[in-house]
Amino acid sequence: MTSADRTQLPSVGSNPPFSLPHFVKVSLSNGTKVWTAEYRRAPMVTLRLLLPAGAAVDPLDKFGLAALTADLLDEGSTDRSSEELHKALMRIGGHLKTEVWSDATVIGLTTLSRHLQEGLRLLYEVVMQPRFHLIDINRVRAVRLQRIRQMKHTPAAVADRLFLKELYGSHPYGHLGIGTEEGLQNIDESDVRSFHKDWYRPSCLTLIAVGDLNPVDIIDEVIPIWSTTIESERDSVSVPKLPMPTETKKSMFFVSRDDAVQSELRLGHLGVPRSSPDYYALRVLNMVLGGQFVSRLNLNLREDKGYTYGASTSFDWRLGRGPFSLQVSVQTESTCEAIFESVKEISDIRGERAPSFRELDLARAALTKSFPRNFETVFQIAHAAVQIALHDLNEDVFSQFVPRVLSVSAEDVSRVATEHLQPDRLLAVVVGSRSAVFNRLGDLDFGDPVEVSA
Amino acid sequence: MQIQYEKRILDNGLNVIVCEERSCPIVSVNLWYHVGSKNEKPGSTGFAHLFEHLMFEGSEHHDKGYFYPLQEVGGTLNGSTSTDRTNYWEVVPVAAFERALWMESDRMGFLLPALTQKKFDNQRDVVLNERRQNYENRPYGLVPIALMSALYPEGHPYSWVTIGEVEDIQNAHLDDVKKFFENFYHPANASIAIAGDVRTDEVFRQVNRYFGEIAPGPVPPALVSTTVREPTNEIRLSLTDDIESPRLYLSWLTPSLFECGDAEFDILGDILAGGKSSRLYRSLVHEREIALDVSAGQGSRELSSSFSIVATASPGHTLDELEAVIMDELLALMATGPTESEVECSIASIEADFVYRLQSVGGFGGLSDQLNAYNVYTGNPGYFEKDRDRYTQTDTTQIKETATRYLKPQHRVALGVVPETNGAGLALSESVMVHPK
Repeated sequence: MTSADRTQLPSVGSNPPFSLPHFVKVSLSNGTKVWTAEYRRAPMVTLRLLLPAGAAVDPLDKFGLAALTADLLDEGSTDRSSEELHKALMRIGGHLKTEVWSDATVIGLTTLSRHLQEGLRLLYEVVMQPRFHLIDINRVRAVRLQRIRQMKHTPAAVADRLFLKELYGSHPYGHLGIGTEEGLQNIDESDVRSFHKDWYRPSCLTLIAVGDLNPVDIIDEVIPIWSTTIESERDSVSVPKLPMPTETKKSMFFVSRDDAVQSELRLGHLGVPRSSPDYYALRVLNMVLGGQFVSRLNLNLREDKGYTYGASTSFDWRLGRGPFSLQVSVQTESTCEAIFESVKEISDIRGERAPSFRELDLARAALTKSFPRNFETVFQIAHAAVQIALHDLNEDVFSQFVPRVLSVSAEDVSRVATEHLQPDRLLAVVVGSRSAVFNRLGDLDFGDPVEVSA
Repeated sequence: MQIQYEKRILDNGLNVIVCEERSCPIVSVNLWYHVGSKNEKPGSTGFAHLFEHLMFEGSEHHDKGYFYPLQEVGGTLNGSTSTDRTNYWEVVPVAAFERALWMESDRMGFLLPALTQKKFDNQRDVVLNERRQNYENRPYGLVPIALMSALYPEGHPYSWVTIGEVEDIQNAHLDDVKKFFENFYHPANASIAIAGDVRTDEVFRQVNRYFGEIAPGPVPPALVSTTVREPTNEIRLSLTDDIESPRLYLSWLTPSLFECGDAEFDILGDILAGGKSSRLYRSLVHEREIALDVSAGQGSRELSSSFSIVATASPGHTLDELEAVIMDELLALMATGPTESEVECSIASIEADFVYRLQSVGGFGGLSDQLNAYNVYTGNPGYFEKDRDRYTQTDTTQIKETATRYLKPQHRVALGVVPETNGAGLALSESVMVHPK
């Protein structure tokens, strides 16, 4: 046996080709789209039901309606109580999970493949036949109201909420899915029912099934269950076009948290929609800036200075212009230094310290060579399908990912950095100790910080 | 559910487990060192976890940080420390398998020459910030510290939390690293599991090549599972925090991981608070509306476990009210036992989870992590079936008896967290105020 050569790292050859999931797509007579992918690694199936309505369609005076409606789906159906529904779910090892994003609501159900038919039936019952009893609405609302109040004591939640509010104002992206106390209090039974009637309708839905299944069989099983709801009187609805958000001015908002040992920071501005032609170049740029452990931001704030447990940046890829943001919690005494360094990283990458060839190589390699591992589990494959359906992406988006990222040039990255990172529009949110940090925040070139309550 | 794997032990004591899984062209390298915060001593708490951080700062033959060579080949990696063990993993495209072994073996064999005071000071600051972020500056974040020190007597290795005490972290010295490394970070105290699109023989050959030359150290003596507190009276504590809603924690000491009774407590957790058909959810949240949420679960550990019930009070309701209802429900369960249907539902759900969690070859809780967990705790990486049998072979009588034996009211630790402002009068009755840091 030869012993290991420790004078150099082993070289890494090329990886074998890997196959992307293939989706079989059909449309039911009532307009519901059904996408299935066979992936027989474990005897399980995961289902996703996507509807193109999320927190962004909440009425202006009823923030929280989309999420409250989704939360009420498993509180009993027209046939069964919540207790009976949940017992039935447990019997099939069913995991029910509801997510409400700005652009969409996704209801997921995972079950063993031998229980697939029952899983499909339960998902239908939960999604299409909720009972929406007033007593349940009031109870679930009360719990959510208290959660909103608790979020005011949670630094990360305070920072996230305030950042979106100041970034978007009255734009549909300006509030979190959970909504506001006022909004939740304005919602009554009829609001929930009409939200459900408007958006949980067959022609809006995409049903995705991934796992140990036969696409033909599953479609045969889906049809009798899901075709029973027929779209009647209404014209098909479409999601209202998102208004253009207004660009921000450089500004800083501060929330006091007595004796906080860390300051929770958000810095950012408007980003670009998922449909932007600059998507791939921005993915590469973000890797260099703050999208991985060895990004500039994390190496600076954590590995060099020790100010934090971790720092990152992200572009939130939405139908409209999602936020570009930097997130970090830093030790109180280094708050100003951390903000200064963060702004510097965002500014410098636009020119003074443009990404080096080595950094770009790393970013492109990290994105492309890791790509196959995004398709290891049924959850990942289902998530990929949701992205395609929500953003109406071409089927070849995954086979094109690697070549598109590899074709991103240094010039492309420099151009998108200059265009889409805007240091002079940065909005800063600081949640921290007033006595320890507030007086120094004014020196950071954001103008006078505006103090607001949580 | 048959998991095909092969296990060998190298001459230096390193346990090697290989599992071929060809669905995706990736491979997971998962390495456990059988050391955690239970191996620390009072006065040097938090050291095992601080040490874990140092493992990512470079080693003798690659003294440039651990992440870069793995991220540039498309890998992902992480590590974690618990009371009982420290684990490290990489998931890489198959072509980078050898590089992952090179990196892992270099830090197992050659960490110390690359370690400097500067790296040590930096990671100590990072860890103190991790503690601030996850404990000190988080609502209810200090609860685990108060609970563990109440459940276990002073000096017991579970009486402190893995993150450690601030003073101890601040007082840690670079000199301590060497001794810790020599005692715990060597092949005879480690187990490596490799799962993915690989050939078993080739994996054994490569692992032997990279790890075979590393000298073993002394096998740390097993810590004994001591019977801990002989509780005569319940312990009742209060602490204040910057929160909105008071929260109640009830905890009991229970059988350790894989011991008789451990699985029954997982099922009891489901019956009491697993989802919206569970007893406590129905009673506290749905019917009485006195709680916003409730959860219950067994925290299984090597030396001793604890079972906890946690509930958050609705506005206008007290922790004493919650406690009374919970204790009534518990006594009812101990008197008549669970129903057949409750147990069937729980077992169905637990059995399904066995399938779901083995979908990934890597990561926390994935296939390779699970093989290592079974190997380190039982000596048998293929413990899956036996583990599952613990659930399928129990029954309502055993569950009832287990609950009755361990969940005695006088054995409980009750802890109430109340808001620091306007919290007066909300504290749990007959409780002592504590101030964890």
